Amino acid sequence: MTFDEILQKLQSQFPNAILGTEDSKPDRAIKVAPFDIPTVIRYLKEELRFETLGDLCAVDYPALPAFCVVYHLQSYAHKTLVCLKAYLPRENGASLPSITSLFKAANWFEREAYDMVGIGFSGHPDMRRILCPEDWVGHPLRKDYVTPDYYNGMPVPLFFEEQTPSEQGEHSK
Amino acid sequence: MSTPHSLVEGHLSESVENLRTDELLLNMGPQHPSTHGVLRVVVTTDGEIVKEAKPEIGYLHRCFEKHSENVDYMGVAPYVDRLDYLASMNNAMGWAIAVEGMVGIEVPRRAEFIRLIVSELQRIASHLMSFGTYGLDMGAFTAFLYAFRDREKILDIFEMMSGARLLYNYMWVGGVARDISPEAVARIKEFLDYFEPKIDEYNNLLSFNKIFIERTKNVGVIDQETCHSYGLTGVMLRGCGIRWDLRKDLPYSIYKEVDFEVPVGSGEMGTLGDCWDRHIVRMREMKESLRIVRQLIDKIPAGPHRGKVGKVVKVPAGESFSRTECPRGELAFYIISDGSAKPYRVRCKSPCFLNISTLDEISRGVMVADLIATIGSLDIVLGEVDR
Amino acid sequence: MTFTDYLGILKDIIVSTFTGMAITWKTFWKVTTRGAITIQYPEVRDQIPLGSRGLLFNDVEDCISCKQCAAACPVDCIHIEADKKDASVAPDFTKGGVRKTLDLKRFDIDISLCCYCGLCSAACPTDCLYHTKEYEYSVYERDKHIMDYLHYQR
Repeated sequence: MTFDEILQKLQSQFPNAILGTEDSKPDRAIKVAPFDIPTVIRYLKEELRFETLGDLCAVDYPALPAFCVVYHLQSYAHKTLVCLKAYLPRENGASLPSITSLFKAANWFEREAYDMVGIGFSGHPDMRRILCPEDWVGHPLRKDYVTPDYYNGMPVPLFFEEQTPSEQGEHSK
Repeated sequence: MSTPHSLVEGHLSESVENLRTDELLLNMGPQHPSTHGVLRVVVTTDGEIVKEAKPEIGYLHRCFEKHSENVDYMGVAPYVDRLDYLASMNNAMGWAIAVEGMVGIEVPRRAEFIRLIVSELQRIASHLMSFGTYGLDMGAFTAFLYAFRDREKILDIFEMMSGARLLYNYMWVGGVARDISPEAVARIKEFLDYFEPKIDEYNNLLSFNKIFIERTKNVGVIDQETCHSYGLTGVMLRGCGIRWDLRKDLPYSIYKEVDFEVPVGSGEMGTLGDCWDRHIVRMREMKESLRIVRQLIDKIPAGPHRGKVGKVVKVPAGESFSRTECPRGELAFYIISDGSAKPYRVRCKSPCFLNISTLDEISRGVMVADLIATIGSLDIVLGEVDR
Repeated sequence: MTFTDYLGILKDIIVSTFTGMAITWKTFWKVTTRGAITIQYPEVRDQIPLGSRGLLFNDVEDCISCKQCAAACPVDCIHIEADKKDASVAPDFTKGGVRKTLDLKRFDIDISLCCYCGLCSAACPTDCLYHTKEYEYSVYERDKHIMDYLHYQR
C-alpha cells in the first residue's frame, strides 16, 4: 500500500479531517486536524491494518508558531509506515485527545511528549512527567527553553571553570 | 506449577483465602543488581504475589535529543553510541543510515561489508551479555562468566578495528572510520571457528537445564495482541511467534544478499511468548549472526572504506524516519532538518522504552521471583530507555 | 501433578545438571592446565592494540591553529586562542611544509570532558593532534586535567 493510496482512502473517508499533505523529502506526511486524530487512527488501525504505533513525538516550531505532534503508524501486513501530523496552536495549555485507548504504547509516548514539549493529552490515564523529575520547571525540548541555573539548590551546569583557583585548591585538599 | 494461580486453585486455596495479608509497597531499585541499570520498579505486593509493578524511569536521562540539536550531524555519532552501550555499533549504523538516506550519500561496498560484519558481531556480544546476566538473575553464575569470556574476544577485535572497547564511534556517515586490517579479518575468522560450537554448549549449560526451564516457562507471557498494542519489536515480537525482522522484511544495507533464517518462539517448553521463548530466540539469533559473518568475511571487496563526504555533513531540508534492527528491537531515528549544519529536531524511538512499559501488564499476579525473571527476559538497557 | 510426573522432573533436573557440570569441569580442566590468565597489572602490562584511542596529544610545533578540531568536538573540550602572526618575524612552517599564518596563544584540552570519540584527530589537517596509547593519567586535582599543550611537560 503506497502513500497515495492511503491518502486517497483517508480523504474519501474523512474529507474534513485531512488537511492535506506535507511533501518533505524523503518522507511525506499527512496533516490531520488535531481533534480528529483518534478517529483517523482508529480507521487506520481497524480497516487498513496499521497494527502498531511506531512512534509518537512532539516538535516545537516557534517560527510558525505551532506545536506539532507526529504519529508514525506501522503495518506488518503492508510492510509500510504512515506519518500523521497534527498542528496545535503554540500556547501553554495546548492539548489534543489521547490515543491510549487504541495503542497502549501511546501511554508512555504521550507522557514523554508532555514532559519534553509540554503538550497535554486529554483522556490520558496518568499524565505525569516521565524522564525529568516531578518538580522540574519548564519543558526542555521547546526551542525557547533556557537551562535553569539551579535545581533544588544545586548548580545545573557543572562547569568548574567558574570557581576561582583558590576555592578549587581548598576543595581538593 | 510456577504460576500463583495454580497454587491458589490447588489444595492450598481454602487456607489461602482465610489468610489476610497487608499490601506492601516495595521499592525495587534504582540500585538493584537485577534491574540491569538504574531502573526503579514500585512494586505493590500481596504476600508473595505482585499486584502492581510500576516502572519509574529517568535516572539515566542524558538529554540525547536536546544535545543533538546543538551539535552537527557527525558530532551526534558519539552520543548515539551511548544510547545502547552494549550495542554501540548497531546504534551508530542506524544513525549513519538515517543521515545517509537524507543526504543521498552512496556507501562504498567495502564499507557495507565491514558494517554488516561488525554489527552482527556486536549483536552476538549483546546477546551474550543478555544470556549471561539472565543466568545471573536466575542464580546460575557460571553462564555469566562464560558469556563475558567470549564477549571479551569480540571486544578485543573491536578495539583492534576501531580503537575503543565500548564506545567505538566507528560507523561514520558515509562509511566506516577505519579500514579493516588483514589481522582483524584473521582474528574474526578465528573467533567464528571458536564460537560456533560454544552456542550448543551454552544451550546445554543453561537453556535446556531443567531448573532454568522451570523458572522461565509460563512466566511473563506476552501474547500477540499485547505485542502489537505496545508496539514491541525485535526479540520480544519474534519470541511470541511473529516472524518479523527488518533485516529480512525491509532489508537495508546489503542484508538482501545474505542468507539467514529468522528464529521465532514456538512455545516449546510452555506457553508461546514466555521468558524461555525469548531467551531461546536470542540464542538462535547468535547462530544466524555467525552465519551472516561467515558469508561475508571472505568476500570483502577492495575499494575505499568511506564515501565522499565533506568535513561538515550538509543535510538538505526535510525529514526522515529510518528504522534499523538492533539487538533489542527496532531503533528508529526521526530527523527533521532545516538545511543548516545542525539538526532541527532528532527523535530517537528506542525499543527498550516500549519493552519496559509492558512490565506492569505482564507482571500482574506473578510471584516476586518471577518478576525478576520477567525483567531479565525483557533485556533492557537503561541507557536506551532514558536516552 | 502425579508422583510419576514429579519423578520425571527430578530425573530431568539430575540429567541436565550433570550435563552442565560436565561442561564446567571440562572448562575447569582446560583452564587449570593452561595456567593463569590474570595479569599482575602494575608489574606486567597488557599490550594495547595499535590505534587505540587514549590521551590526546597535540604537537604544537605542527599546529596551524585552524580550529577544525574545536569545531568537530561534540563536547567542546578544546579551547584555542590564536593571534595573527607578526609580519616582521621570519615565516614559520610545519613539518609537512604548511605555512603557519597564526600565532598559537593557547591550546587547552579539558581531558575530563573528552569522550575519546576521535573526531578531532580525524579532522586535523596536519595530523598534529592525535590519540596516544597513554591511559594512566589520574590526578588529585580536577584542574590538572586541563592539558596545556603549549607548556606540556610530563
